[in-house]
Amino acid sequence: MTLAKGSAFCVFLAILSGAVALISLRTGAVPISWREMVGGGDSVGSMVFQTMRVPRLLLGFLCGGALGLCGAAMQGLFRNPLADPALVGVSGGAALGAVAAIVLGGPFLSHSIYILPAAAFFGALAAAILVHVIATRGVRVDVPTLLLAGIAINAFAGAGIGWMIYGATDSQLRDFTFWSLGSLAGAGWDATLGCLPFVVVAAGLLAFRARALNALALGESNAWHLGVSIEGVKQAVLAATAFAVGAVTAFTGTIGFIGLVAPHLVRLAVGADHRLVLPGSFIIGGCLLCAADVIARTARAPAEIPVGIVVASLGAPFFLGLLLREKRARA
Amino acid sequence: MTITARGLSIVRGGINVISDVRFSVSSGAFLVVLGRNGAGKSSLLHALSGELQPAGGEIAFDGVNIRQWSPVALAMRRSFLAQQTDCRLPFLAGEIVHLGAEAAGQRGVGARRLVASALEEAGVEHLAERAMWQLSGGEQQRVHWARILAQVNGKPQGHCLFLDEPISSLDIAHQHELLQKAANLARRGATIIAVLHDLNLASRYADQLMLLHETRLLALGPPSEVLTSARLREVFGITTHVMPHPIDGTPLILVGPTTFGTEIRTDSAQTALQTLC
Repeated sequence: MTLAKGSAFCVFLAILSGAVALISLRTGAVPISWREMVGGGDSVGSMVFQTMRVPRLLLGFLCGGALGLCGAAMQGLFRNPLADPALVGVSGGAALGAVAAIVLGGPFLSHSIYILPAAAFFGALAAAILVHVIATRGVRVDVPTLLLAGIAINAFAGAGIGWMIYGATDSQLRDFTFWSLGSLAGAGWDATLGCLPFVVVAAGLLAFRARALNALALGESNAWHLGVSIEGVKQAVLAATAFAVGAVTAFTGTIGFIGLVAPHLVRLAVGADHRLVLPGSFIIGGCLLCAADVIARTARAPAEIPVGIVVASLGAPFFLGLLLREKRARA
Repeated sequence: MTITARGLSIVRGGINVISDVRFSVSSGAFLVVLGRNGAGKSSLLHALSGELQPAGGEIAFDGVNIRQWSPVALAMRRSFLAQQTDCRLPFLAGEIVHLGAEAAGQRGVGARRLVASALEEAGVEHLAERAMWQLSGGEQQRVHWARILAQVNGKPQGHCLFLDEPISSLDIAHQHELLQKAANLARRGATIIAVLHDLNLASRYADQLMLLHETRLLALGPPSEVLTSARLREVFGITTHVMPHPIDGTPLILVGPTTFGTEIRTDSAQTALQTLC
């Protein structure tokens, strides 16, 4: 990494996130004047701005950022650019945990906003550990097995969710719809502040792991010989992923592809050094989800499309393009 | 650094690959491990470096059991060049060498200076800005060699380098260059433990050879003692003639003329060979 490249990238990220924030704050069903944005007051515009636009922007940025960060960390850990929390079943585990909490723990849910994220966290953690144990052969992670295990865990989580729905009441079904599509519509200060500690913990767990993830790119054996405690990194990445994906899933539902797309865009721009890829993926992931949310809010205004649909509609073609590009690169 | 193995046994995939090996190498030694494919050479290196947990016995670095060394402390005193390393993420060659400098505890300007000197030492400074996946196998191997040199941090005294077939993808000039550099490091106080397949290269650069055969240590000593026709026949099953190099007298191994089967022992063949040399 050259210093010039790193600084130019930081400037670009700052401009990009500023632009996305501005567009997101200015766009919506209620027009908001500049005065209402900066000055406050008690007009409808400033109410919408303070209680809806700002927390929604922050929640989108936190969730997208967390997904991007975890995608980058997982790809580093598994040494594979195709690893992603959704692809390897962690998001599925989180969704199963969240739905189980809605259906089985109904009466307790009102006690604390942390019950749902906690359930999603444990679902995500269980899936992360399971997929890792299954895909590790000796000292290395077997990628085909990893993807197969991810498919199996997703299928199992899907079946589990199916069983829950089968026995669910009407109101529980409505709650569940929220998870299946992914949406920032529930955003308020409660959700944003509820999500924050989980994302902070995840980011903290990964903050000083960039060097270790760089070394891991050469395989676990080489990384160990470079002084990296492999088990420590693995545990940090798996726990961070479970924390972040658990919280994101609990507050916004299943949103795929951000974890795959954001790190890729960053690597295309600045290469593979995790000291740039990890923070860059957070910011790009946050910008992507906020931008997708702008589309979700405006495409059929005043109605709102669940943002998960927008992300998947744009992310899936990107993923296919990625596969084509890899195919051409190897040919 | 003195490395001691006592009663070392290694099991991989339920199979005994090394049984009851004991030896000791100290600073300044260039030890080359020889043996057939699957003789446990790589396993031995991975166990000695502390990565692979042996099934029995113990390994000590400077008298301290290797289990008591932290990974970070070990990385400052021991480096390992693997047989093959692939890298699927788009790292540049310079970034790979930087990993070695970081393992040596260098950061910032110090690390960049160390990377530059290691790239130059390995003769790959022109590849620094290239992505690893664009490089040929031999070029990649030399970049990893530069990474190891960065990890040595200019302080070979007290450092141990494990080189697992370090020259498998290199042309003949680069083979000799790398091994000569390794021998120089040993002269400056490093301990070198390498796996090689070329007996003549081993004989030229190593000051000690270890011959592994059927999981056991068959011979350990200077090349002139270890490399005998009888032993090479026992281990590799091939017919060889061992003779002193005409210039410096190190053992020179010639194979054949009949590689397998009966050894030619006629006087005329011996005379012909001696005339040749």
